[in-house]
Amino acid sequence: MKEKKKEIEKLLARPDLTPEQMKNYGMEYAKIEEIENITNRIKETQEFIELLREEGENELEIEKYEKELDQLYQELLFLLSPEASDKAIVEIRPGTGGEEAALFARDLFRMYTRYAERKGWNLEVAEIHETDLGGIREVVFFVKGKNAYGILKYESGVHRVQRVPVTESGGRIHTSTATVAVLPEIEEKDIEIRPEDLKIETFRASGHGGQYVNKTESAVRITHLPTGIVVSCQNERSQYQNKQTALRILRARLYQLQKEQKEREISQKRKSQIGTGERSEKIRTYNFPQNRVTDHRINYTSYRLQEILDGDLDEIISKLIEHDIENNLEEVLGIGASVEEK
Amino acid sequence: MDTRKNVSGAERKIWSLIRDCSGKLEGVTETSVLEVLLIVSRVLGIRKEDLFLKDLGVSPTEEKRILELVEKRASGYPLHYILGEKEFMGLSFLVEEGVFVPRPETEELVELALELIRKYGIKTVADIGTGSGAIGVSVAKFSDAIVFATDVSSKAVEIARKNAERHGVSDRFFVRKGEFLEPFKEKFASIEMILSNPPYVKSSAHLPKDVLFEPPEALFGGEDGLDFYREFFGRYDTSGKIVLMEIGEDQVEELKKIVSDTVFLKDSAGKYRFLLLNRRSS
Repeated sequence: MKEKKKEIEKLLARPDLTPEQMKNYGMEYAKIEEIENITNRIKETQEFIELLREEGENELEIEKYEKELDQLYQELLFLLSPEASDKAIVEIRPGTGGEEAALFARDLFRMYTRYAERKGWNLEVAEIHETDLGGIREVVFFVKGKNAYGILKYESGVHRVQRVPVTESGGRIHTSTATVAVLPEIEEKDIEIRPEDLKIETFRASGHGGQYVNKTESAVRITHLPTGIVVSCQNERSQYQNKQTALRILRARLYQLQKEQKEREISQKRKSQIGTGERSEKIRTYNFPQNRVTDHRINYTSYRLQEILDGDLDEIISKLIEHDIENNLEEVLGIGASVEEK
Repeated sequence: MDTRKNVSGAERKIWSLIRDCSGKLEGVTETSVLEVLLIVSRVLGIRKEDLFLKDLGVSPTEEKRILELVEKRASGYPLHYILGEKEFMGLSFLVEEGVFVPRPETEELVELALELIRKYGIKTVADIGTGSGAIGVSVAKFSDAIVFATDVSSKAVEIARKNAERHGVSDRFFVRKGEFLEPFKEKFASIEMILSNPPYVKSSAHLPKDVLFEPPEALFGGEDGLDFYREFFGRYDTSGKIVLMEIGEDQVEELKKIVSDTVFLKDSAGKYRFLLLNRRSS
């Protein structure tokens, strides 16, 4: 961070900057300053709380400041998240385990829907494809609400379930998986896609179209030619709607790809950051016989399996956030120190 | 400890009902499971995704209703008449027997029309044979233009009016009963663009069962399917106007004989689907 700030200072001093670059660097610089500011406030508050403790101030008073500290941590988290955003796109697909994996994908979909309800977020299903037994082959949904992406991004990765599947008559415990991918939603204005780079195809019956047939589904497939990203959307909604939805998803995937490329070019990604992008990483296990949920990234186990599946995800996510903050703080506090040195 | 909590009894029942029903629809549609999900959602008054999100039970009355509707669909009756609506341009349109169910190709016509409206700043548009109002209501919804729509069917006029209300464009979508643009003769000079998805099916065509339930006046365009175009271009002076109409994919050569200075455009499935005649002076 400290180096980054210096790097930006240098960049800002260059005479050949375009207004666009100037704006971007300027914004990044302002953000770093804000992070420094909040970090300093956190340090001050911490010191103040210690002081109160030493002076034997009553706990109620201390709690007040601890709450303030929590608030500051939250704010810091929001700022540190490079993709702090209120809009997320979530995709869930079954992995290994056949129908049981599809039922597990359904359970995860339920979990996030209920979590979104608790958070007061708005959830809109874009695509849902079923299996015969009520499982899910694929679900894609948009979530909108305060810091929805900043929070849900911790859910990206492979989720694993261990239980006796309803489809299993022998009573044996199976292990199945489902994959969750969470992307920030990118507004049209925030990413440039040239119309000529898109190949938009619709799929209809061979032979006559138009008035000659009346199909229940409309299907749209959009290919982004320069990158080869393909997004399909096929359901009972209108073709226009499916095209809009596919474009929303395409924008997010393209942005993600560009971001990953940029990060690789500019600097090593912070090692401490949890689980975004690593879609093949096994992040969590839901073990029914032991009534536990274990998050492997932070080695944290909760014995509230049912509550968690009912959408009480704050417990685990707050642990993940704390972990993230701790790691990020180390870097940021480095800057704090250097500022004081000046 | 029972670890088999992942599927409840009620749920198992609803999904076995869905499986049984979808078997019945396999003869009439490629998307039998989806159609059953939509019928069940309709009867239970829920969104489709709720079938996955909640442990839903089905009462005997609801089950009976579902089975009735599935039987009806199995006879070839159009799904969208059962559901009572069809989405078009992201908007839900009421449809019922007597009204043509809007198709996805026609959405592309609307998108083309909207582009032209923006490009030329068009203020007044006509929609001939509006049916559910799909073209005209969408144009009114997504532009500032005023739309004059007509249809020969009083049912269609009634439904189109409801759809205009539904999407809050009653103040800019006017529909009257009658042929071509006759009901809006007094407005003809002011109309800058004429849109239509006229009947273009050949009278000899072999149509799927569900399409045969749709109003014949919305489908059949005479022996070669071109009666509408012949009569329209024979009857109206389109100079100074833009005409954009849907066509059958195999009618380009014949249409060239009717209107010579026309451009033919393909739909996104790669088939000739639209006739564009731009006689605007600027």
